[in-house]
Amino acid sequence: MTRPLAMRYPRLFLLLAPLAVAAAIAGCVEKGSSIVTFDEVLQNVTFRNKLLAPVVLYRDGQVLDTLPAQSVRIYDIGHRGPVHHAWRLIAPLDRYGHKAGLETTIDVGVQYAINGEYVIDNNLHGSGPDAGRTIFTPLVANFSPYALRLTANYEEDDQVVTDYLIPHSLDSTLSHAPYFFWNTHSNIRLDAITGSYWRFYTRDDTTSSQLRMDDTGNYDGSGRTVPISVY
Amino acid sequence: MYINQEVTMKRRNVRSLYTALPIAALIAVVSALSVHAQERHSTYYDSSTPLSVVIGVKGGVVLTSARQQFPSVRIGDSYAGSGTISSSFGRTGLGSRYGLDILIPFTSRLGIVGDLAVQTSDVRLAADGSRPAVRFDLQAVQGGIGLQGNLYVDTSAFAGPGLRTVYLSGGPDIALGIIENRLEGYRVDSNNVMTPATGSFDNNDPFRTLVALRFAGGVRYGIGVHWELQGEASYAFALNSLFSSTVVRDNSFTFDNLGVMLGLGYRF
Repeated sequence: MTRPLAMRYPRLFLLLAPLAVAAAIAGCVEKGSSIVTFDEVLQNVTFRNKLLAPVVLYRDGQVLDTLPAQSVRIYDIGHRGPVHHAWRLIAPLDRYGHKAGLETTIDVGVQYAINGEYVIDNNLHGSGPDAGRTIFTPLVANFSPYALRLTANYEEDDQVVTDYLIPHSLDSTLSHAPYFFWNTHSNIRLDAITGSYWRFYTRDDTTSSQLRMDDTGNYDGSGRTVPISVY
Repeated sequence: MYINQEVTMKRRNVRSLYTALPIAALIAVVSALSVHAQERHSTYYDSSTPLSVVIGVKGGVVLTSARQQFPSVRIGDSYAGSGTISSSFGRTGLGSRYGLDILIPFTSRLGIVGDLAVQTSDVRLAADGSRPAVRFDLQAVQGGIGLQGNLYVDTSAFAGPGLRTVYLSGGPDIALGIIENRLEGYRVDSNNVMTPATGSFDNNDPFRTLVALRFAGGVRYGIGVHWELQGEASYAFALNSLFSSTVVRDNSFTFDNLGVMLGLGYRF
């Protein structure tokens, strides 16, 4: 009976294993200390904000502009060398003047395209502590007689308790909405600021009466949920 | 600055993971195959045939040669670009390729081959009288698939040691993802003085998915009933340019690779 190769030639394997590791390490490419760019004049960059909230744009660490919700703007560059962009979400203020929701910063890196274009949507592409995550904003049509205080991801790891009040009109939400992380058990809790009235909606990708992302039409990428009517 | 150290560390960790994963996979496959061999030896009569599937590890060197001119680039705060560099200054660079491969035979003469590998290509451009040499290294995850035809098959060699097959193979070889890049060149100051400098493209936006046609010829030599050594020479001819036309107007640059590899395979 033939024994396996590793048992017949243990020394061969002991020799080959470190050689394989050494070859792999020798083949590794170490990142250079400087940024390499092409010797091309970068003409412009387009930012397309699909979110229902304004974002601050940065170029090389300096504020470039504030881009309103659901808008597109083109910015000239007109020079060679590395140009670095980033953006930061602006959270709305609650009734006490505190920030309600995320104010995440996403670094989109060095621009290489001569005419660059970046899409800002609810999937956070780029780098930064929150990069790779998805965000959402709950759209609530408040037909109840109460002002409703919003809590997102109630009793989840990323729970956010706010004093942000859900308005009776949707218009203000569409121009400056609060954003939260979208996880497998995302939910919202709405509490009346007076009395014991409250409502709870949890993520359900099949039922529109629950919390479900609306990725249709103009709102694709906005992170907006299908409107929930509260009576 | 909004880029914190944690992000940089995360990027490094991801790149280390890219390198460590194939190594771990190689060790795991060899260990699993060894255990598999031990089990089947103890239960029934041992045999392999030209129709048996082969899974193995393969690694070796790749010799890289530049094609078309290298675009003008700037490293860091260089005052001017490097200027385009003709491929006539190209010299052979030495890189490596290692990974997993599989052979699924249809008949004793024909089969399908596939491999998943990490490849480091080393493009070298010699100095001329007015500028220093340039070296560009690119490490990528490569995926290849193709057909293999056996020119020679010795069926008696599948029962033990001996030359089993001599083959030719060919198919597309695709850079599935760039792991890292590094450019060793020079920086130009305002007095047109050139000093050595090293840098990298900050992200993978400049790169196209490089597709090459890879042709290979090799032999498989049995060293046991199931284990066999493999020797292979290959040539990968790039079909498209490395850099995107959206990032550089003169984007014709690409490179070809000549590979010489050794492998250890397990024939089921």
